Amino acid sequence: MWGYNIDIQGMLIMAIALVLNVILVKKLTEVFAGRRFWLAAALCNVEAACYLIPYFARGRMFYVQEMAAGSFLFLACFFLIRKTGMRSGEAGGLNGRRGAVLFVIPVTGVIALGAMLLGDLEPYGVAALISACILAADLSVFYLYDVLLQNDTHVRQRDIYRRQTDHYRNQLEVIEESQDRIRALRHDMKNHMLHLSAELRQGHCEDALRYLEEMEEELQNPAEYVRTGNREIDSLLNYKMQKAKQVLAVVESDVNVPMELMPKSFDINVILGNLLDNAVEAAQKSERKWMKLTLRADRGVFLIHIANSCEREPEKGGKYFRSTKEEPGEHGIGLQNVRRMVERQNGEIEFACEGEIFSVDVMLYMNEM
Amino acid sequence: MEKYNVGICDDDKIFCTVLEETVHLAARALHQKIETEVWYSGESIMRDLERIPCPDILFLDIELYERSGIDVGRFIRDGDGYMTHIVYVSSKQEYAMQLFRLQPLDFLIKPISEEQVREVLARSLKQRAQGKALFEYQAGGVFYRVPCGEILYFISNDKKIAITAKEKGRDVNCCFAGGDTGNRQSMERTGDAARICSREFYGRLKDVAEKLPAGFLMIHQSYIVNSDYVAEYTYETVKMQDGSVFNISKPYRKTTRNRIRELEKARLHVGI
Repeated sequence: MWGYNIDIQGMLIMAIALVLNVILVKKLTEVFAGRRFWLAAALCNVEAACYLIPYFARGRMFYVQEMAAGSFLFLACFFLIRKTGMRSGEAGGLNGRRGAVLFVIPVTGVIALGAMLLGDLEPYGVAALISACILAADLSVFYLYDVLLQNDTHVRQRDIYRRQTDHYRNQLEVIEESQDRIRALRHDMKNHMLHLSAELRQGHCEDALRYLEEMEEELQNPAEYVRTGNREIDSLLNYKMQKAKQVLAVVESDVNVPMELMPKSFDINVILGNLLDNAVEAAQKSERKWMKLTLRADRGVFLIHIANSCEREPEKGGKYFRSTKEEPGEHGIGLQNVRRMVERQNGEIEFACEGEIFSVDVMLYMNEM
Repeated sequence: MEKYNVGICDDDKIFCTVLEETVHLAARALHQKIETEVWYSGESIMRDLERIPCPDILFLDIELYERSGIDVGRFIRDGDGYMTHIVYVSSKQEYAMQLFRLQPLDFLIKPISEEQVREVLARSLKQRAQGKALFEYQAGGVFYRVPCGEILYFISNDKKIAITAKEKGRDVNCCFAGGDTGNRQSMERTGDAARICSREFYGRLKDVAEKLPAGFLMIHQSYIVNSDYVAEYTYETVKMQDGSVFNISKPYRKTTRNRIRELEKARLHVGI
């Protein structure tokens, strides 16, 4: 069909090359699962460049040898890409603008290569050089992508550290406040006891009881919402609950987790923190301004249930609830990322909306936390 | 209607009296006849439980003087009280991991409201009622009936299914109403009070699964486990309270996870 004889040997080489390519592309798709379209464009480009270099280098004669040479060039490229792409699999990714810029390079490459094929380019050496340049550019894109991703992860991690420091500082203040209250009470203990015994001696039981209640109130630190003895969870929740109380009418919590549960990763902080932020934000817009958090640890399973009143039913964008926030930039790391984190730990997450109550359920396995 | 036995164990006598009254109020609201028993120390309840059966539900203080609530909980779980619903009561919110291993029905922080007691009692009654449903099977031409609440797990091997259940030491008939003493059984004594026995019958595990109530999980084409007797879940395995560990086979993992979440969520009292 191409106007020349195809020998068996050539057919064989082509078949091998084809099979190899299919396998390679499939492998790469696994690694770059998050950015399928970008990968498709970049790969198409790399592949085209790989075939065009030997093609232009030898003039316009399309021989099996060129196909084979192209294929093996592509194979070499694959290993180069593979080396950079290892980290990308789990990454949540780059935000829109940087992703778009990254997209420009392979796309322009595709256009340039197409133009070269259609246009009558002489001498062929120049065309081969251009193809080689585009190939080099594309390969460096993969490298850049990797660096960007790495950078992104660092930034996010630093953000988490910073937030955690805030939580710890708050927790320290909470603990200090609690201790101050105890100290103050102990200081006045003699007076309290004198007062109580006087009341009781006179038979004023009701007054004594009321006085005791007042003492208890004095002892309670209003900023200490949760006290599980688990440092991570206490500091996160006391911080978030305090913030929530400032803007919501009712904040309820029901938390039963063991003291010794020490999550190995930040994930629980991120998951819980983000879901609480979302709940508070939605509840704030509603009339009832109500939120409830339930945490349970049971039989190796960690459960998070957060319910909040909401203004209207969130729109469903395909499988997921669409954000009701106007500014797309303010989404934090967003529910999508929470979902990904939960799934990475083999957990499960489900959102539900009944009337004006929005709720989210998360289940995590404690051995993976 | 059967009386529900409610136990209270706390070293604070005034608290015990108040809680006892609250329990009676809650029971009346639920139209449930109950009988209460109160202990003021860990030693006394442990001594008594050597003689009398464990209560159906026990409100147990964590910080008892000599023998702590954890000791009592362990004593109950190791003995006859594998079915007892333990509700831990404390003035603190700090719970040790050990407490969680004793599979308490709930934790309550003092002071305890009537609403809380009513809710926990209702949950206990509901779970107990579910456990009373009978599972029937036929082996060697004889029909057997086992309360589902006493079944630990089913293992199928070829066409045979082995059923493993708890058996109360004092009234054996309660477990297998058939009283078969045939040779198709193996017994393993794990203590004086409760033992685990296993029997076989012919059948398909899928058919068995359809007959069982919601608390049972099919985690493998050859295993069904009772979630009430699970000690620990992971994504790939289920560890039972008797120490046996089952693999969740790949095709069952996602559905099992989903079922676990539903079951565990049902244990929460998520009020709106």
